[in-house]
Amino acid sequence: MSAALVIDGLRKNFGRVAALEDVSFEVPAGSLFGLLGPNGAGKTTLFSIAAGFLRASAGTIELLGVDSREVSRLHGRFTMLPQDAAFQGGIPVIEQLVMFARLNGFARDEAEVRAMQALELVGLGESAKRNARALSHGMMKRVALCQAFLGSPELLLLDEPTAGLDPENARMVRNLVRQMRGSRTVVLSSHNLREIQDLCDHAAILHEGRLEVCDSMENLTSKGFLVRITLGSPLTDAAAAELRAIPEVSLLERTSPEEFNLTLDLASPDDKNGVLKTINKILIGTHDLVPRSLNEGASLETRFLEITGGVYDGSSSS
Amino acid sequence: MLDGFNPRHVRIVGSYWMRFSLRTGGGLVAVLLALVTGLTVAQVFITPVENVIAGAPELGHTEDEAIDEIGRIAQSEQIVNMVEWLTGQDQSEVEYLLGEQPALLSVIWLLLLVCFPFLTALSSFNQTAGDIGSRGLRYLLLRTERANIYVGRAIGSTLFSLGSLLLLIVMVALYVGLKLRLYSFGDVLGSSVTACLALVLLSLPYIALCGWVSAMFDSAFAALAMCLVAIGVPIVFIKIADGVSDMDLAWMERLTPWGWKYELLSGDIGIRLLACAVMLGFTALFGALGLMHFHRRDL
Repeated sequence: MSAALVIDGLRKNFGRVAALEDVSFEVPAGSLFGLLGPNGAGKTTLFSIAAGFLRASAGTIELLGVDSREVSRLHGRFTMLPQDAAFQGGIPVIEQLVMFARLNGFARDEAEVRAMQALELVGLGESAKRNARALSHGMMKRVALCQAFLGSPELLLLDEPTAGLDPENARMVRNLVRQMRGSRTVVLSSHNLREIQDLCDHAAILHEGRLEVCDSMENLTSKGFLVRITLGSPLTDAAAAELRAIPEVSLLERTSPEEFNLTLDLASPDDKNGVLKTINKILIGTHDLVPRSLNEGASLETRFLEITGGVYDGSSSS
Repeated sequence: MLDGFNPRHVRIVGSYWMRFSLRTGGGLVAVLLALVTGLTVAQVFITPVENVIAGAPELGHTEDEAIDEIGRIAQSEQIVNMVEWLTGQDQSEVEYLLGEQPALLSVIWLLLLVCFPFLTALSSFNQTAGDIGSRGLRYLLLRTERANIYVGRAIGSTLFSLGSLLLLIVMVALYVGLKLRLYSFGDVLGSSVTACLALVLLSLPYIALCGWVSAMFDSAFAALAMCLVAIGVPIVFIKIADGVSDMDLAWMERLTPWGWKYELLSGDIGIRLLACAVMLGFTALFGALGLMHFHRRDL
């Protein structure tokens, strides 16, 4: 599969602070790619270099075969949702979108049609003539998304596309992104790990400016599969030792005498059922410990936390 | 640096920038300030002339006699010395401005040449600075080269200045030509066209300088302050250095567009062309430096 985005040896310094250090990875064409990392990991900096807003201190980014310093040559084939760019206050959003469409190469009449279509796509057709300053934060976010959907981009970078949106609009955005699978390449960053796991087929995790991992979602989640088990009685040391001895179990964490988490490193997602059977056999068959509940999943979260060493509360994300 | 230069994009960026500037108020303020300052300068000279003409009957003179008297005053030693001191030009140039050209208009144009670099700063300081700060350029950067944004906005700024300048000169020329009737229509028209060209040519390097300064800052206010400093401080510095030094340092003004501005109204066509070339040279220099900086910096 060819790459739509190639990042090679990328480094960016802000004064003495290194925001990105020797980051290299590729985004396959047609994929939905998640870029993850805690705050300050360098996600927005990477997007900003890709879009030509910032200049790299070293290394290169190629988008659809074009160097990021000449990204405007892609003329609408590449677009982006920047996290913090502003529209002109006091000017109707439709006029600003028409200007962007004209710069994308459309004639004035066609640009007006395209701009209106894009606004309707994000449910803002009726707000076309409203001034940017008069729109709420969520509406501005949707206008910003709308400019990213102008024309027919082949590659989209979406920096936290659902942040600040209500659940309904967040779902609409997720559906729009999902519809692009296979036909366009979408790279999106988000702190909502469930969203990324749900949408993306590939992901990379940045931590303190360094690339920690870049893989398919299947491989990423199989390596950090989490099983939460609650027993009817306390877990014995002997049972814990046997569970730890299972080759696929990389970590056993006790959260209470009766509750514990197992992190599994699976060679393949298909191995999951076999390992769960072994766990049940040890608990029930050997030690007579009956699980009251067994929850599995949130594996990207596990992988993320394992890499970043942080605390993630998925419930805070929409 | 000019890779991907696209005249269509330059036109789109420039025209939308002018339109948005006017509608968001910043540009309108600049136009009004230029008009108010220009008309105030004109009024300082026009009012005494109007008073002399209006008071002529009370003194038993006709209007024609009053106009002749104004002509004599305009070429009096005091006025000639004042213009010589202001412009640093030799006597033949001063005689050309006050004798061969409509004197009242010449004096107004000379003072506008002094004011215009600073007025230019008001319409040009925010070519990019405010949008760099608000990251408003980012949506443009996704779609066009940096050079197109920079040049488009510089051209928009120039057209903006040109518009307010034309409005100002037409108002002054019509007032002096039609109401006062001191000079023939041909003389007023010729003087006004020359002045308009001179002011446009003087504005160009300062628009380019303001564009360069604007590209250095993330704040419109900082850019305005630094534009005024960049225009004013070298002049003040040279004047002070020339005043306190035993050496003649007035030549240093020639290192700035300021030092060539009066030559734009010279009676010698060769000198006038040289001044035009110098202004275009400064414009190219400041424009290239600004574009280079804009091309390299984080936006």
